[in-house]
Amino acid sequence: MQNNEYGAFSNNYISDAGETQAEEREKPLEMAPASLEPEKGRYTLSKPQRITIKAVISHDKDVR
Amino acid sequence: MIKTCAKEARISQGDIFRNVEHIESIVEKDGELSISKIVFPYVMVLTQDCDLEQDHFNRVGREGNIPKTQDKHLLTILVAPIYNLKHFLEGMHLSELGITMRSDINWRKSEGKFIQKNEVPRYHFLEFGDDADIVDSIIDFKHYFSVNTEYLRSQQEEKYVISVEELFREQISHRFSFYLSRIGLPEV
Repeated sequence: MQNNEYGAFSNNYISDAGETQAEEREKPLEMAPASLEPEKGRYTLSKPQRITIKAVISHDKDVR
Repeated sequence: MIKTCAKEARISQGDIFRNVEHIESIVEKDGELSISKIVFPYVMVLTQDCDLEQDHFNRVGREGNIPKTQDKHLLTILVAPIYNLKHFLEGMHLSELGITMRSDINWRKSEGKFIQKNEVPRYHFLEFGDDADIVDSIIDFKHYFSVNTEYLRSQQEEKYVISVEELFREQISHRFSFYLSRIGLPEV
C-alpha cells in the first residue's frame, strides 16, 4: 500500500489469472480500528478515506 | 439528544452502518483498470422505511410465500454520511479526500446554535445519549449517495452499528425531503 499523488491509498495489483480481475488486496478497511478509538468515553468518528485499486486486465487469447 | 433502538432483522430507515463504500469511478485505460472508492466511516439510511420493508419481504417472502416477481426490489438504498462534529467545525472532515470545507462556523454563535437546533436545512445535528457510544456528529444532506441494496444486505451483520428510534428518524427523513425539495429562487 502506498500513497498516490492525491494522498490516497493505492493498491497496485497485477492479475495473473488470465481474466479480467480487480481484486482488493488492501487490508480490510484500515480506518475501522481507528474509528473505534475512545474519545471522552465514546467512540470517535474518523474521516472518510479514498482508496484506489489498480488492476491489469489480461485477455485470454483463445476465448471466442 | 437523539434516541436509539434495537436492530430489526431487515435494514430500516435510520440505521447507521460503518465503513460503507461509495464507488467514485471505474476507469479502464491501456488495459489497466483503476477503481476509486470512498469509504465512509458512518452513514445513515434515508430510504423510506415502507420501501425497505417491501424490498425485504419481496426477497425473503412472507410466511414462506416468495413473490413471483421482484417488483418491490430496491436497486439502491439512499444514505447520507455522518461526520464527526469536531472535524466538521474544523472544516477538515473531508481532508483525506483533498476537500477543504468551511471552518468559520462558531458553535456558540448564531449559525452554530441554528445547526444545533436543526434549523439549517443542510445539516442534522446528532447528539447521542448514553445508549450509543458515538461522539456528537453531523449529517450533511448535501452529500447523500446510494448504496447497492444487495451489497448493503450482504454486509448488514458486519457493518450495522445502531438504529435511530422511529420518531427521530422520521424527523431526519422529513428534514431530508424538505432539503431535497427546496426551491432556489433567483435574486431579483
